Amino acid sequence: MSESVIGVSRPRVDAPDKVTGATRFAADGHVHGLLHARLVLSTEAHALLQRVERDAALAMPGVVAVLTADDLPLASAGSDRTTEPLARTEVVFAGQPVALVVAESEAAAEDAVEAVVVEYEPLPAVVDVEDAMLPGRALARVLEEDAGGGDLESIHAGVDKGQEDGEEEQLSGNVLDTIHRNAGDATALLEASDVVVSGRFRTPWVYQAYIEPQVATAWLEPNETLVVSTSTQGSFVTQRELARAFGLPLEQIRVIAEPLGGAFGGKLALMEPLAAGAALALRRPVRVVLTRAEDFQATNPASAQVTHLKIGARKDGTLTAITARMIVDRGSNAGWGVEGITSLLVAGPYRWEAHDLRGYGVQTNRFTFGAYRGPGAPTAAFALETLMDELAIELEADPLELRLRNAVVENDVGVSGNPFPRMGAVEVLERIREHPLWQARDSLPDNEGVGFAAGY
Amino acid sequence: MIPAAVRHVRASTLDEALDALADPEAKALAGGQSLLPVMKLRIVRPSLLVDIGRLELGGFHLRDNELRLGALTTWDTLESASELERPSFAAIAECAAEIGDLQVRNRGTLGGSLAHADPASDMPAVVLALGAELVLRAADGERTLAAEEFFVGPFTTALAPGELITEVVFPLVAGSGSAYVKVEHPASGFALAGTAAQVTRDGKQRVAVTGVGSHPFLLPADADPFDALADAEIYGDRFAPVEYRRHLAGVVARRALDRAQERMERCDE
Amino acid sequence: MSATRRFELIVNGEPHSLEVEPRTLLVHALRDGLGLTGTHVGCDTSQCGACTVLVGGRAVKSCTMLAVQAEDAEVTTIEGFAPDGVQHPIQRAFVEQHGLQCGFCTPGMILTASDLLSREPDPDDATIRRALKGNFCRCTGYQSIVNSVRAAAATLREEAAA
Repeated sequence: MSESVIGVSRPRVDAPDKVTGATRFAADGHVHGLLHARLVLSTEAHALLQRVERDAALAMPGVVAVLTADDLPLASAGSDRTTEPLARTEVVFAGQPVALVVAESEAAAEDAVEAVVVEYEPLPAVVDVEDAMLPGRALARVLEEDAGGGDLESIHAGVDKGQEDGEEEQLSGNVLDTIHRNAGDATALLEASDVVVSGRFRTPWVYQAYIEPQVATAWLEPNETLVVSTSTQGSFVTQRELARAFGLPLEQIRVIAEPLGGAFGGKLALMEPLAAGAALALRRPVRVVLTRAEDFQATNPASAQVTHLKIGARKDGTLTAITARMIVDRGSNAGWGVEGITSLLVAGPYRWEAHDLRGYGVQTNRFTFGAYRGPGAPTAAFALETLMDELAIELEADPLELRLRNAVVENDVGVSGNPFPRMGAVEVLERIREHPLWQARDSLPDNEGVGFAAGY
Repeated sequence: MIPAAVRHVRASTLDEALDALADPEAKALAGGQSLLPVMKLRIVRPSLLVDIGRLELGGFHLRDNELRLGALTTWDTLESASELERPSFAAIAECAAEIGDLQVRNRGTLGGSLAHADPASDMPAVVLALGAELVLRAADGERTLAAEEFFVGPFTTALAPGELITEVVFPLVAGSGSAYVKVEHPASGFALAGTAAQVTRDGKQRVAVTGVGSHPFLLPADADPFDALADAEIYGDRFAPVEYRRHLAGVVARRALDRAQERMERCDE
Repeated sequence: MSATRRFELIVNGEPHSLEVEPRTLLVHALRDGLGLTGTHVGCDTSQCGACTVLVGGRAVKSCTMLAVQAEDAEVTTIEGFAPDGVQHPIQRAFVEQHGLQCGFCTPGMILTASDLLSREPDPDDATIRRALKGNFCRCTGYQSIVNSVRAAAATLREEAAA
């Protein structure tokens, strides 16, 4: 008799420790001689950093150091959160870490943060993502820096980038990347379609809100190994990022990924460069634990986005063409963006006879953007599925049948130009059709409804 | 996250507390569910905390014509008190049951919350609608103040420096019904609009509103809530713009009145 | 003003002496002073409940209590909830009903559930949800937590009847 593990409920192996409080999360470990760090965050969205006055803070009890960018032994001149964990000269978002106060206790560090005085020379703040694209607009970053995205780009942006032909539109220097995928004459086909629906969809920044605030602890072993104990989604990528930031060989860096108190895309190489930089500078163990307020301001929520979408169909419910213009707010400090993914996924699991899809990655003086569970996907599905339902209304068609009619199957060619592999769109839609909740949709009580949306 | 440095002294008698509160930078600490959050955000930085949490200021006294509640009575005690299971006092328990969450209700006190006077806190509406009086003690004596004179602005009351609330006294209006209804902000639990209502046998209605303005206030007696609110100064914010909040206050006031009326009709006092 | 106070309290049945600044929050005194790290810090605004402990058997957010307020009190943390390594029925229920994923909110959930069940042995789902209003979870979507508390309640009722 073989015991299957598929479809059988099993208790988590880590549950006994978690229900007894035995699990050591990243802020729980005891480290001898540990120092505690708190951040000084920028109050300006865009500014030149003039001065950080630290004497008053340094004089306070328990304070060991007030570190700025120059104090960290960084080996790279980049401007992402790994190579610029503390702002060097140009501050590019309100909430950007400007200094690190290190003290014998968290309370002493928190006291001293209030005594640090930062002088800024404000610059025009770029916060409207569509306006920022127009030629001649103020730039969100004015100083030339090396904006490499490092290893993080490869984790999330695993899709082709389509044709890169930014020559058609006049765009400002805030537009860091453009993607264009088109086939057929979508505009003409839409004009010839029986029904066309369109809309402008805005989605906000979305904060991952893990219950465990971000934290990293770093120290040097007697043999100069840099050890970083952290709440992270990727120990190896963190190790490589630290190597890149501090110019250390991989074998000199050990990253310990502690049990994660939730991350959902938001915990990748943000805290470790700060803790490691401080530990290397001071040659003492340093822990950076964010307060919730710091976590809200200084981490990396998922991008805000503006999507202009238009889709068409024939009277018989066949989808004809789709045009999309998707403007992704990359915020600041980001070497990569989701404009590639989102402008691909906006076509959904459907067949189109023509498409014209554009994505723009635009820098602004907003947070560093990060990922939240399927970056670029929900924002695309929100726009497309809303319009699919509107299309169904215009066609007087059942919304599920409309989708089934146009759902891709294996070997259909998608907007990426590649054939789809085995695709479950049809099977999923057929299962929904049989679902009791969907079957009961017309006999629900007042103020109750049921809907569905498809995506991949 | 961590309060600014502060000294702490525990008072073992009321007189000791009042003496210590003579320091203008001292604040009384009861359950701490209002004071500690603002200290943690460093919005408030007393130099001395006078801990009154263990004074004998809890407890109930129900007499013929009044209910006297000690200032240190917790919400949890109020929520489950049999003395409050009557239509005339139903609003008190109903309100207490909806404050914060289980953990807050285990520690938060009647007096602490009223003295803190957050414009969106719940119980001020009840003390206003039920016509309560507050007994205040200072080092040099005691006085009684009607609730209507107590709340004067955001986080501002008529408490004199060094003065403590010791009791809240609710008149027993025989045969009346009362209720508290609020729509709360889903994250903070504070009232976007909260109203307490009292309906008496001889047809008089009292309605008090919280969460909508600079401080909780009574509507004119017997007025239609929507009419009365049309002229009120209402705050707007991203959770509830002015006109939405004004309408919301009217809706919860209407619900509170209806519920108070229904309780009054079922009352057999 | 960095003078410290020394005082006694009982934590998980054992007497302890603490010496802390008056401003020290109970959660920090437990974690840093006594090494009881099962109680967690998840927010700055007394909302998330990850810091919940029992004081005198009642659920309290230890981030919203000064350590000095716990002088002579009896505090129970998650570490003291299962003496001698035998799981409490509430803990067992969370394991069996998948009431956790990352586990960061779990100690707080268990202690709040303990307070609820000590007063209401047979709560319906609405009562359970209301009792857990001050405890946030970002992983499970709460239903499995409600299932865990309901199952724990049933086990405790059986044990009491036996």
